Order: sequence, then C-alpha cells, then structure tokens
Amino acid sequence: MVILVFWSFSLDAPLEEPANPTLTPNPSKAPWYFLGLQEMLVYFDPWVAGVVLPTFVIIGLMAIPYIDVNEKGNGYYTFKERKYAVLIYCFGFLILWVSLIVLGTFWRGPGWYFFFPWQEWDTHRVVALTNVDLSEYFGIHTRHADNSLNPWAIVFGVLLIGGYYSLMGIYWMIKKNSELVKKMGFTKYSITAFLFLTMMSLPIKMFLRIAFNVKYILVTPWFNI
Amino acid sequence: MNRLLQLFSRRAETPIETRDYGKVYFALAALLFFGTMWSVVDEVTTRRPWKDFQQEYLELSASQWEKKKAEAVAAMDSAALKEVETQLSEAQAKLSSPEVVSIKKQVNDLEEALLDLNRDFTFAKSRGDEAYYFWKKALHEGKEDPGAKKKLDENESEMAETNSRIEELNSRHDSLAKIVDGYTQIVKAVRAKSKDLHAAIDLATSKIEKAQSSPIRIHQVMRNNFDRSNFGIPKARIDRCQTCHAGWKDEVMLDAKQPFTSHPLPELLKIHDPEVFGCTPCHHGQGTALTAGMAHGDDDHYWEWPLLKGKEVYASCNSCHMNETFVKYGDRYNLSKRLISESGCFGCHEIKGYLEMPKIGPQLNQLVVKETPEWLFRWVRNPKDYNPHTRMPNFKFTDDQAEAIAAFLMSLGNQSRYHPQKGAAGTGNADHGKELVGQVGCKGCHVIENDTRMRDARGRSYDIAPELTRVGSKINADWAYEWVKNPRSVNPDARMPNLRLTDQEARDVAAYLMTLKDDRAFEQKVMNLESPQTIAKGEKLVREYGCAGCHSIKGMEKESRVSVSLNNIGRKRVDELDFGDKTAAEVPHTWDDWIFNKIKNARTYTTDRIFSKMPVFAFADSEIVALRTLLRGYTKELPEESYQQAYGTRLMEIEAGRRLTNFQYNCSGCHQIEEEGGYIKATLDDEGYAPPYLYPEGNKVQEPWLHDFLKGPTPVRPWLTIHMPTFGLTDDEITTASRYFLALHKKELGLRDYQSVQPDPKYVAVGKKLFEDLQCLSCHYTGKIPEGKTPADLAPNLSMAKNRLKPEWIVDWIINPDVIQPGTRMPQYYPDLKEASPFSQDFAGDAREQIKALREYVLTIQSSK
Repeated sequence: MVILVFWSFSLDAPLEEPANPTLTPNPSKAPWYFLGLQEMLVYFDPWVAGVVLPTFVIIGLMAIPYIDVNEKGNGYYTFKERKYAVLIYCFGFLILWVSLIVLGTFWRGPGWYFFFPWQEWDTHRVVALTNVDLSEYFGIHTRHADNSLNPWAIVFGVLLIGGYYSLMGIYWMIKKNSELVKKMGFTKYSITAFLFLTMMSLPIKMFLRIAFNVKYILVTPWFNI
Repeated sequence: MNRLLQLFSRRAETPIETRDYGKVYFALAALLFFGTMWSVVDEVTTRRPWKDFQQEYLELSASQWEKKKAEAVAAMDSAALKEVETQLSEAQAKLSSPEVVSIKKQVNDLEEALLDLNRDFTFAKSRGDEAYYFWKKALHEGKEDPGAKKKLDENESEMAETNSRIEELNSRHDSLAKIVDGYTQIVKAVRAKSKDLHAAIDLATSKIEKAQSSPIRIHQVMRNNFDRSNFGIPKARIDRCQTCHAGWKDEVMLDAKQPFTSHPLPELLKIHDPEVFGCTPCHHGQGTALTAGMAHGDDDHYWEWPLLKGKEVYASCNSCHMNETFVKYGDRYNLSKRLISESGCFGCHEIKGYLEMPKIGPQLNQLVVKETPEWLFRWVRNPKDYNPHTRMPNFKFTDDQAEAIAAFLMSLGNQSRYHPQKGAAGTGNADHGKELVGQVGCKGCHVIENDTRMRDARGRSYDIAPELTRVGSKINADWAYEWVKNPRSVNPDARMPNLRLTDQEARDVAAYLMTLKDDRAFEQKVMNLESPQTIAKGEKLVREYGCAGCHSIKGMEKESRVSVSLNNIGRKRVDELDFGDKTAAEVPHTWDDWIFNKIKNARTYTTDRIFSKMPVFAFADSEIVALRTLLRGYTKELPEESYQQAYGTRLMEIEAGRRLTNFQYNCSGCHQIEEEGGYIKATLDDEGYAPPYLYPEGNKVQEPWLHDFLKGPTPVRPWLTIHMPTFGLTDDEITTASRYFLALHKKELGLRDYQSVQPDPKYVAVGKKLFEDLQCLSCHYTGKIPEGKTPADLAPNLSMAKNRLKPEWIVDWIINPDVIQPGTRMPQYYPDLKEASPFSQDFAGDAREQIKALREYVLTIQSSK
C-alpha cells in the first residue's frame, strides 16, 4: 500500500486520443492480459489459437486435481517432492504465457511486426512475406495450380501430427513399468501426456516459424495447424 | 552485516505467535500517513499552478490600475474640479438654507396631512359601499331600508368633501415640492459633472477593488453542443483557458507578459465572445487542462488539437467561414484564400468553398494563330523561363513530352476557324503605342519592361495577366492588332476587355508590343508536329496532367479533377504523408514541414518508384506559410451547423461579386472595392488620375445607370486618360455586380423608379442659391470640361446626377464626404448638423433641410452645351 501511494504521485491516469470508429490504430493491441492470445495468432490460425488452445488451457487447469496423483505438499510448500508438477506449471505459465504477453506488449509494433523496444516504430516498414507450409520443404505443394488442396499434403500433415502425438504411446511403452506411470494408470497418463504435448506444440511451432518460415504443418479446408 | 544476520537468526528462534511487529507496523503507518499528507499538499498546491498565476495576475492588474489611477489623478483638470466643487457646495448650501428647509418642512407636513385624508376617503368609500349593499339587498327583497340609504348619502357627501380637500392640499404640495425639486436637481447635475470628471479615477478604483477582492477560482466556459464526438454524439466543449490567461480583456495588460496579456483584437472578440464560446474554437489546445504543457498540447502527445501559435490561429476561420474569400480581421486567412482563388488550386484538387470557380487559364483552342510552335515548346518546357511571374507552374516536362504537347495544341489550333487578317496590323507608331500603354490602363493588369510598380503594390509573387516584356517574341503582329482592338472578336470568352482604341491607336500599340523582343538566343528545335503518334501522346499527357483544370481545351470539357481532395488535409496524420527519400534532417517529419516543402517544390518527394505529377509553383515563402495555415483549417471536424456562418443570400451575392470582380475580370487591378485593390495607382504620377473607389457604389449609383455603364461605359471623369474599358459583361454578370455592390451595404436589388419623383420647387430655389454661394462649379461642371484646370481640381459632371446618383446618397455625401470616400477632395460644408447653417437663413438655418435643397437642385441640373 505504501508503495502504491508513493507510486501514484508519479503516474496520472493514462488517456490516449479519443476513440475514432473511422480510424483503426496501428498496431491494434488488445488489453495487456490478452496479448498472449493475440501473439499466438501469429503462429496458428484463429480457430486453433483463439478457440482450441485456450479451451485446452482451461480444461487442463480444471483437470489438474484429477490427474495429479502426488499427495505430497498438502498443507505445506515443497519443491523437492513436486518437481515435475511445479516445473511444468512454471513453464506453461511463466515461460509461455507471461513471456508471450511481454512479447506482445513490448516487442510488437505497427503491422504486428517485431520491433526492439528501443527501436522507433516505423509504420511504413516492409517485411518480406516468405512463409511456406512445411510440406513444401519436402517437395509436396499444399495446393494445386487451380488452388485446390493437394491430398498428399494433407496426408503428410496428418502423419506428422499423428507421429507427434504417438510420442506419448512410445513413452508409455518405454516407461510402462516405472512407478509414476503405474500409479497414474492409462487414462490419467494419456490425458496428461496429451495436454503436455499440446502445450509443447506452441514453442515447437514458434521455433519452426521463426527459424524456418514455416506457415502451417497441416492445411485442411476447415482449419490449419 | 553480521549483526543483522544474528538479529534475524535470533528472531527465527522466537515462535511466530510471540514475535513483536509493533515497530514495523508503526513505521509503515507513519509512511502511509506521510504519503497521505503529501498527496493532500500535492493536490492543493503543487499540482495547481494556475492558482499562482491568477494571484500574480490580480496583483499585476491592481498595480497597473494603481498606475492608471495615479495618471488620472495627475491629469485631473484641477481648475474644473475646483469649479465643480464650489458649484456643489453652493448648490448644497442653497438646498440647506433656512428658507428651503422651511419649505421642505411644509412639504413634509402636507404629505402627512394628505396621508390622513386619503385614509379618511378610503374608509368613507368603504362604509358607503357597505351601506349601498344593504340598501340594494333590501330593495331586491321588496323592502325599503331608510337607515342604509341615509348612511350611504352621508358617506358619499363625506367623500366629496374629503376629495376637494385632498385636491387643494395636493396643489399646494406640488407647487412647494417643485421649488425643492429645483434645488435638488441642481445638486444632482453638479454631482453628475463631478462624477464625469472622476470617471477615469472611479473606473481605476473599481478595478483595483475588484482585483483585490476576486476569489482565486477556475474560470470555465462551456458550450453544450459545440461539436460532436467521433461517434456523432453532441459533445460539450469546456474551456478553462481564462483561469491563467486572466488578463485577456483587461486593457491595462496589453504589454504584460504571458499568460496575462490582453487579446490584441478586442474588436474581433465582440463578434466571437470568449465568455460565450471560450478560446479553443479558434486557438485550439486542451481547454479542460490547467497546466500550460497539457493545455497547449505540447506535453500531451495524444491531444489531437494542439495550440495554434501566432498567426496559425487564422486556420480556424475556415471552420465556420469556408465559403467566404474575405473576412474582416482575417489577415493571413484572407491572403491565403486569395492565393487559392488566383492560383487555381481547385483545378486539380477538390476544395470546399471553391467548387464552382471559373478556370483561371486561357483557352487553348486557337494557339496556332498567335504563337509559334517553338515558343509553345519552350513555354511548356518551363513557363517561368519566359515569364518568371506567370501563374502557370512548371510541369518539368522532358523535351519529348513538351514536343508532344505542343504538337497536340497546334493540331487543336488547326481545327479553329478564326484567323487574323493578314497584314491587318499595318504600320503603327511604336513610340505612340508605348505612350498609350502607359496611359489607357494596361498596367492595371500587365507588367511591361521594368515598370513593376503595380506588381510591387500587389505584393504577390505572380501576376494576374501576363507580363509583356518579351511578348514580341511570342505573338505575331496581326494577331496583336486584332486582340488589342477587340479581344472578344478573337475569343468570345476573353477576359481582357475592349479598351475602345481607334484602329490607328490599336496599330500603334501592336507596333509597340512587337518591339518587346526576347533577345536571348535559343537553339533551334526541330519538331515533328504532324505525326499522329506524337499528337496522341500529347493529348494523353494533357489529360493526365490535368491541364483542363485551368484551361478550356476542346474535347476535354468534362474532365474531372486529377488530384486528391484537400477537404481534410488539415487532419492528415504524419504517417499518412510520404516523405520519399527525404530524411528527417532534410525535411523534418512533421505535417508542417511536409506541406511547406510540397508547395515549395511539389516534386521534392519524388523517388525512383513514386512520381508526383503536381507541377512546381514559385510561391514566395510567406505565401507558402499562408497557404499552409489555410490547409490546416481544412478539416471534416466542423462545429455544429448553427455555429457556422450561414451562407445566406447576402453572403452568396457578395461572394459571387468577389469572384466576378477579383478573380474573373481583375477589377481590383484598377479599383479598390473592399479593402484591397486599385494597384494601378502605383503606376500613376498623380493620384487624381486614379480610377475611383467602388465600395460606396451600392449606396451611390442608380441601378439602371450602373447597368448601362457596365454595358457600355460613358465617361464620368473624361479628364482621366485611363478608360473604364468595355468588358462586354452579360446581363447576368451585371446583375451579379449590382447585387454585390448593394449587398455590401446590406441592400437588395429591387425595382425602383428614380425619374418620376419631381423635385419640390421651393427646395430647388433655395438649393440653387446655396449652390451658387458655395461655388460648387469651381470643381464640378455641367457641360464642357472647364479649361485650364488640373485633374486634381476637377470633379464629375453634375448634369449626370439625375440619372446616375441615388437621391439619399447625395445627402449623405454632402453631410460627410470623407466618411464615404476617405481622402476625397470634396469639402465638408456642414461639420455639425445641429448647429445653425453658416450659409443661409432658409429653413430657419436647418442644415439638413438646406442639404436637401442642394440635392433637389442638383437633380434638376441639365447639361449645358
């Protein structure tokens, strides 16, 4: 409270120019707490970034009491006895969610292009648009010349994503006999593993986009991943 | 450090429940308390700098008024004061003399007695009414009440008696009161005199008292529906500027430092009252803010309407006056409006208020008869090379482009049916021609050789009509002769009027013009003017570059404007402006600098990819700044319609007249109509030769005469060598001019019979005598121009008055000629209309009646041969 009182001397209510329906601000930024979601839109199509992934976040948070079989830490704080739970949560919240908000707030300028915080925002900045779908790297065109989808590209994407999620099965095979996996049982394990892989898909996709200009892995008429 | 660690470890040994937090809580509570106190102090003083400003203003104002008061005291006419004081004491002594006091007492006694009597009367009447009621009631019941009847009669007689007594006392009272009143009036009159003497001191005293007793407070002006929010909802405008700028209407603060200075144009504020409208409608800034940085908008990056500093404020005129080309007190606004009207910006850009303007350039359909292709080529290449003061901007065409355009224009000319008669120019006397050019008024529009006096008087960087210094290399003699003789015979839409020269005079002028050669050597250009491809290319260029915006060109009558609308240019954001390759060091990236450099050199932002077609103008920097100010005023965010100047009939008539007289026919080259014009005066040795001032025209001349005069001028002042030329105006144009002259005096054009009113013979006789006594004919004349007089001593032919002048104007003119036409040589014969006439005893010396008599006589004067 003391800090707030003294801080408030130096801060006046931040008012910008009056809203104008005929003028869209560039960049159009959501309120700060939504900027993580807005940042996700860069990497996924709106249906995935705006609907599917947030839904999984909520479902995942709701599922925690049911899939967390570790009874340690009740009534007291412990890191040593809950290493995985704490680390995974911290990765999801601090590393992914908070850093996406920071990225969206301070590192994005006009056109939602990437600007360093000390760089001047140039509204006329031009960025080369060279993103391609992953299949193109393997010589499979996503679309035919007449703009219809190439079924082979879809097969390629489905295989790749299927392969990614099959990692959970492979891990189950390997660790089938470990104490933790046994304790969880098949259902809890599959839910946890699915949610974990889905969460990890975000940094993977971000890496692919930033390092290899990958647009989508799977393109379907209804949604793209 | 160690001790601190020890402290913590010792503390850790104490169980949580028994630890003592008292000191920590106390320290935090103390900090919180300190913070709260601080915020109160901050709120009341630190963040309220306006309080100090207002305090300072009040002290400053009081001290200034103290000075004024001291001055007034020093300037007091002590003799007059003494006189008034003795008068006052004398009058008061009289009022309190025993004689007057005793009369006063009698008046008082009488008033008391009257009070009693009036009461007696009222009571008697009341009792009588009561008795009347009972008597009548009994009568209606078929009975008789003699008691009531008696009572009624008694009271009525008492009333009559009392009334006569009242009247008697009243008359005595009135006569006595009149005496007392007389003395009181004297005292009052002397007191009033004394008050007049003290007026300046009293004013200063009251101002000082006001400054000393004024509370420190926010002065706020609010208009509930001045403008609308971005969502179209009416929005209040709140101005608190006067909280710090407290001296805006305090006359002693004219030279005070800011923010206390008084407004430099108090006359303007009478029309735009800051107590009603506030300040921001014109000056912009954030009216609600109370610190300088926020209020002026310098510190508030998000405020969209920062303060308009200095003369930039004239941009705001456009919000409400966009339809007018001249507003009183308009200063830079008027200049910029005129610049746009004359430079034809509206040919390419859509600009509000300039939607229906005549094209400013000549028609291009018959150039072949006038100019050589070589000259045309060089002109298209760079017009400023031939005439640096032309209004035509430089399109920076390449040789090939210029060749194509010349080819196209020549091909247009070949279709024209008009050709000057070969050899029509004959031989003329160039010397006489030169003399004529200086005499008949050519120089009202044209600059010739080194005579730039007219241009200097106009003060613009461009001329309205072409400079003729090199015209001999541009045109051919036959065309020149026919054009000078009658421009309309060559081009029915020509703006140049017919100067009514004789054939020989026209030949002389043409001969003179042909001596004005461009003596520079040019490389001979071999051009292919016949090739259809070149002609087609030229036509395409003419279309693309919007030549038809200024010129009428056959086949391009319906071309639309080639460039963007400027109606919201003032609100363009910097990121919408393309600075091309200009770095911030070359052209700072602001709206102001972008506009300035764009008008200065329209091609400045051209890059290897983005080409600008706008031609390069040659405005002076001061003109560019004025244009920029006006452009800033073009915004779509306007005040509510009720606040804008209504563009009604009168204003439309005036604007139509301004367009006709200033921009269509350049009447202002020779005549001053409103506040500008009459530049030809600068080229004349004697101002007596100057064309007349036309502002009074609407009050002055009869409409039928004006119509006839504009159709075919008949000389009013034949001694002037400058002719009013024949403009060949259409009836519509003449009506426009008439309505304009009338509207300037808030009059409308109507039907009026001037001739059937017969002068009163009695007045005529007196007028004739006065006319002779005042020697009107020593300047005026009635038939032939008297010989041996200089133009300065000559005045118009009065035999024209009957058909030319409005009768009521003649009276106004004789009363005070200098008010109507400042600087006139006509004397004012009756300086004070209330005084008896010094000239004659007729009409009991009534000046007004005698002036009327003079007028009646003047209206009977016939032309004497």
